[in-house]
Amino acid sequence: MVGPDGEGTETICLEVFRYLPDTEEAPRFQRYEVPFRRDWVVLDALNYIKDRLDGTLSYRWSCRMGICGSCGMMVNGVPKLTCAAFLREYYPRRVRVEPLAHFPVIRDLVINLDDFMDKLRQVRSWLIPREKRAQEEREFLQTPAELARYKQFSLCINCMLCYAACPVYGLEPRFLGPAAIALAQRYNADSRDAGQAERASVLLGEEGVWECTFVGQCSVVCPKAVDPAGAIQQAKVAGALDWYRSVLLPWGKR
Amino acid sequence: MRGEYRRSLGSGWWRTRPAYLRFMLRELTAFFVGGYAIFLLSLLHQAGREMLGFVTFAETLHSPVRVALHLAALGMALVHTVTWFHSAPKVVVLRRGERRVSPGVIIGAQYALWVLVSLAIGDVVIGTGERGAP
Repeated sequence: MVGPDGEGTETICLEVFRYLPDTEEAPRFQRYEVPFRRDWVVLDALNYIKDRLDGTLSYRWSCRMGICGSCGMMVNGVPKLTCAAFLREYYPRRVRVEPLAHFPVIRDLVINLDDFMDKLRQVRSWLIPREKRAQEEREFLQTPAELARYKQFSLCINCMLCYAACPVYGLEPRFLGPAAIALAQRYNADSRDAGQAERASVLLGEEGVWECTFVGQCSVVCPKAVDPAGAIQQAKVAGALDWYRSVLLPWGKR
Repeated sequence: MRGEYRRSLGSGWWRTRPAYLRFMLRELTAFFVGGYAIFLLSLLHQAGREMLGFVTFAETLHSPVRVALHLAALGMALVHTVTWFHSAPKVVVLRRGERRVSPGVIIGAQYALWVLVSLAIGDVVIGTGERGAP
C-alpha cells in the first residue's frame, strides 16, 4: 500500500537513546514510528525523525556511503555504520539505536571522541620518514609488494566501531585500542617509515598491545575489513621478536 | 547542566553477546590444557622415580570421576586447539610477493603438523609399551 505522500503505510519502531543534559536528569529511550522502506538504512530513519518528528534529536553523520566514518552507533547492541544498516534486516522487529558503547555521551547519540583522537596522536599515526627531504627532490618510491604490506591497515576510516566492540577497551579505557594500534602497525609496516622505535614505547607499553586478549570482535565489526585484531597480534609478534633480538644479540641492529 | 554521560561495563559483560561467551570459553579451555600439562609432568616425574608408586597411581586413574575429568580435559583441549589453529592466520603473515598466503594453507599446515606429531608420539608410547618399559 502507498500512503498520501508516496510512502508505504508499513512502519518500523525505532527506540532511540536520548540524553539531554541541559534539561533532563537521566538518559531514556524514546520510541518513534518511522515509515518502513526496503531501501532505507537506519540513518535514513534518523534523518526522517529529525526532519519530520523531532528536531531535537542529535547525531553525527556526513557522507551516507561508508567513507566518512561518522555515523557509527549501536544498532540492536551491535556497533554499525548506520548508513550501511538496512531497516529490512530488522523489520518487523524494533530497532534500538544507542551511541557507540564505551565512549562518554555528550548528547543523544553523539559521543565524545577526544580519547580516540588522543590515542591517534600517542601512536604517531603519520609517516615519520627515514630522511627529511622535500617531495620535489625525489618521490618516495615503493614497490607493489611494499604497498601490500600495509595497505589493508590503511583502509581504516576512524569510525571507532572496533572500540565499541572491544570489551578490553570497555573495561580499561587507557588501552590504546584496535584502530590506533592498526594505524601504528600501518606506519610501522610502511617501507618509507622509520618511526618504529618512536612508536614502540607506547605500542609495547603498559596500555599497548599486551592488554589485548584477542577477543577478535574488532575485526568482525570493522566495515572496511581492516582486521585490527590481526594488526595487534602481528604487533605483538614484532615486539616479542625485537625483545628477543635485544637480549640474544645486544650488539646487533634492532 | 549535567556533564557527559558515562556508561560502565559490568562484570557480566561476557554474557551480553554470544561472541563474548565463545571467547570466555576459549580462555577457560586454557585452564584445562595447563592443568593437564601439570598432570602429565607429575606423571612423568613419578614414572621416573619408582615403578611401584607409578603403577598404583595409574590404577587410581580408572575411577569414573578421573575418567570423566580426562574426557572433559580432552574436549577442552580439542576446543583450545581448534580455536587457536583458526586464529593463527591473523598472527602469522606469510607473503608470496604481493599476495598473502591464504589462511586455509596456514590452518591446514597446522592440522598436518598435529597429525604428524601425534603419530610420532603415538609411535614412541605404543612402541615403548610393546618393547616393555626400560
